[in-house]
Amino acid sequence: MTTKPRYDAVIVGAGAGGGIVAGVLAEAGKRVLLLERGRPLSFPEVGRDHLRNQRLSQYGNNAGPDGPDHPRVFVSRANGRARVVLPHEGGYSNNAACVGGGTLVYGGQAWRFHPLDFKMASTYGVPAGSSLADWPITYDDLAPYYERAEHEIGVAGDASRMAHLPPYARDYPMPPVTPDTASSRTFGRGAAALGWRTLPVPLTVNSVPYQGRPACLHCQHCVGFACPVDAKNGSQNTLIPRALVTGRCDLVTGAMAERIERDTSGRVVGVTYWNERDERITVGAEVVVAAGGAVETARLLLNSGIGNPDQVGRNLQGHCYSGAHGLFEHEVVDGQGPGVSIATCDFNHGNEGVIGGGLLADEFIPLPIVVWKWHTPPDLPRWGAEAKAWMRDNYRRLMRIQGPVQDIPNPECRVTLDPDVRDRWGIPVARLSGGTHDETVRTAAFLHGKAVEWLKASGAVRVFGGPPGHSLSAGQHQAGTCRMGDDPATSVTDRHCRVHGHDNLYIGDGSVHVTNGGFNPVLTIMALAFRTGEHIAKSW
Amino acid sequence: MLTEAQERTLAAVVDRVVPPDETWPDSGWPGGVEAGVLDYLREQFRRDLADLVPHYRRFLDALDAEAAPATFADLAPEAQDALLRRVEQGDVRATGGWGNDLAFAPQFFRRVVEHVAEGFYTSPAGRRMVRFEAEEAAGVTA
Ligand SMILES: Cc1cc2nc3c(=O)[nH]c(=O)nc-3n(C[C@H](O)[C@H](O)[C@H](O)COP(=O)(O)OP(=O)(O)OC[C@H]3O[C@@H](n4cnc5c(N)ncnc54)[C@H](O)[C@@H]3O)c2cc1C
Ligand code: SF4
Repeated sequence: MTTKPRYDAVIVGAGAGGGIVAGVLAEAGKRVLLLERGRPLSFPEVGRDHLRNQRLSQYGNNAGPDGPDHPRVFVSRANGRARVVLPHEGGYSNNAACVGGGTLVYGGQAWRFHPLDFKMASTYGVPAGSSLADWPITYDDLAPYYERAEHEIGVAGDASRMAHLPPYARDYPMPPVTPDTASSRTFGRGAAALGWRTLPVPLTVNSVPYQGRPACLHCQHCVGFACPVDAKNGSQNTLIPRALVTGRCDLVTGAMAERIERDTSGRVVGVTYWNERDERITVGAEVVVAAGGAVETARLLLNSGIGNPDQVGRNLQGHCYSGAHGLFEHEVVDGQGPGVSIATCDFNHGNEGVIGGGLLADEFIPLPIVVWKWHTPPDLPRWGAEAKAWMRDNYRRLMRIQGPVQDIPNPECRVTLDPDVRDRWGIPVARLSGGTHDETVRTAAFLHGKAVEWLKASGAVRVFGGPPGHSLSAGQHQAGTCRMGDDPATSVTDRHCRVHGHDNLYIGDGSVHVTNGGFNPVLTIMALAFRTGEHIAKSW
Repeated sequence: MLTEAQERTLAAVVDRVVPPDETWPDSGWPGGVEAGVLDYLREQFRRDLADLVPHYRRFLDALDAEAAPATFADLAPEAQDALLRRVEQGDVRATGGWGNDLAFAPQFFRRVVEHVAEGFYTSPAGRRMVRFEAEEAAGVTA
C-alpha cells in the first residue's frame, strides 16, 4: 500500500500520553492528527450517577467506552474459562475512552516513581517466573520531564516533604490541595507516634487558580467524575487545547484506529481508522504514535502484525491494592474533597524479606454506595435497622488506608488477540489472561500489615479487611505491555519509546513501563510523553 | 410490569431491608420506600434489571405464599423480619411458591438487598443520612 503522508504525525489515543505528545509536537511546528475513539465530554455529560461512573461501574460508566461496541475477553485464572466482558464488568480492566482519556475523571494522584523503581532487577534479583527488569533509563533521566509535567499539567504538592526522593530542582507550582483534613490530622498523629514520615499527596488539582482556571471547590465527586469548575488538570484542559490552538493539530473523535499501515519495505506509513460515519479511512504520516493505553496499544500492534510478536502484550501489570479499614471514635471524613490528603512513602523500598513495596495513603471521599459495597465489616448484617444505623453512624468514622503494591511483572499476564470475538468494526478484541505473581502477593501482605499498624497507632478502635489475593491487575493503572529495553528480544521499544525495528513508530502511553512502581502511574506516563514528544520533534 | 399485589409485597420488602427509623417522621431518617427506592427499582426494571423481572415476580409471589394465609405486606414488621431471616437462611417451605429450587430464596434475596441498598444509598435521603456532602461545601450538584 502506498499512502501520501498528510501529517507529520498521527497519534492514536487522546489520553494522558497521546494528548501530551500531540501538544509537544504541534507546538514544535509539526502537523498532527490526534485520533480518539471516544468523544469530548462536558461536566453535565459525565454527570454524577453514583452507579455508573469510572469509580463504581455497577451498571455502566461515565467516561467510555460505550458498552457493546468494545467487548473484551477475560480468562479466569481460577478455572481457565474465557468469557466476553463489557467495559463496566469485572475483568474488563477499563480505564476510559474520551478526550483526555483517564485524566478527565481520574483522582489525579501525581507521583514520581522512586529511583529504585527503575532498577528493580539489579536491586532485588529476578524472582522465578517473573520478568522483572531494570528500565533502560533512570530516575535522573526522567526527573526534568517529571518537573515539566508537574508545571505544564499542574500539580499541587510540597517538594520539601518528598523526603524519599532526591531533592527537586523546582517546587510544585501550587501548594497542597487540602493540607489540613480530619484524616490528615488523625494519621499525622499516628505516623508521628510510629516515627514514620508523611507527606501531602501530590495531586493534579488546582489548589489556587492556575493556568487560567479556578481553584478546587473541594466537592465530594473527584475520583471517577469530571470537575464542575475544571480545577482538575488532565490532558483535555492543558496540552490538547494547546495543540489545537496552534492550528496544526486536527483532533478527530469517534475515530477507532484499526491498524498501523506499512509499505512493501515494511516501513510504517500511516494508520487506518473508522470515523464516526463508519467510513474506513487510511491516513498517511511520517511518524505514528500509539497511545491507546496498555491494553489497546498492545491490541493495535498485534492487529497490525507489528513489533516482536512474542513480546507485545506480555507483562501486563497494574496494581493490586493492599490496605485495611479502620473505624474511629471521632470523625475522620470531614467531607473536604478530593479527600486523599496524607501518605507515607517509607515502605516503597528497603522492606525486610519482600520485593519492593508501595506507598500508603488515606482515601478519596467515598460514595455512600461504595462504602456499602466495599467498606463494611464482614459481620455487618446486609439488611435491616442495624445495617442502616451502621452506615449512619460510621460513614464519617471510617477510613481506608491503602496503596498500590509494586507489581512484579509476570510474562503470563498478557494481552493477546481473541481468535473469535470481534468489536463493532469487525476488529479482533483484546483477550486478557494471567494472574498476580506470588511475590506481589507477599508484598501486598506486608503492606497490609503496615496499614493495620498505621490505623491502630492513629486510634482506630476496630480494623478490618484482609490483604488481596491473586488476580489479574491491569485496570486503571494498566501498563507494561510494550516495555522499553535495549534488547529487542526481551522488549518492544528502545529507550526512546520507539518500536524496535521501526524508526518512525513510537509508543506514547503506559505500555512502555518496564515496572509500574509502588505509585499511581500517570505522572510517569506524562513525563515519558513529554520526553517522547521532544525526541520525535528533534528527530523528525 | 409487576402486579399490584407484587408491588405491595415489594414495598413491604423494601421497607424491611431499609426500615424507617423508629423515630421517623418526627426525627431520624425515612425507610426505603419514602426515600424513593420503589421508583429507583421501577426504572431499573426497564433498564439494567430488565432480565431479572421474572425472578422478582417469582420471588415476591413465593414470599406471599410463604406468608399465607396472610400476605407478606399484611404481617407485622417483626413477623416480616422473621420471615425474611428464614428466607435468608434458606429455611423455606418447598410447598410454598419457591418450586423445587429452594436455593433460589436466599440467593435472590441477597440480590434484592443489594438493589434496594443501591436505591437507598444513592437517594438524597441516603446521602444526607450518612452526611456525604460536606455541610460547609459549595454544594455543586449535577
Ligand atoms: C477513576 C480513575 C482514577 C484514577 N486515578 C488515578 C490517580 O489518582 N493517579 C494516577 O496516577 N492514575 C490514576 N488513574 C489512571 C490514569 O488515568 C491512567 O494511568 C492514564 O490515563 C493512562 O494514560 P494512557 O495515556 O496510557 O491511556 P489513557 O489515558 O487511557 O488514554 C488512551 C486513550 O486512547 C484511546 N484509544 C484506545 N484505543 C484506541 C484506538 N484503537 N483508536 C482510537 N483511540 C483509542 C482511548 O479511548 C483513550 O482515550 C485513574 C484512572 C481512573 C479511570
Ligand atoms: S474535589 Fe476539587 S478538583 Fe476534584 S472535582 Fe471537586 S472541585 Fe474539582
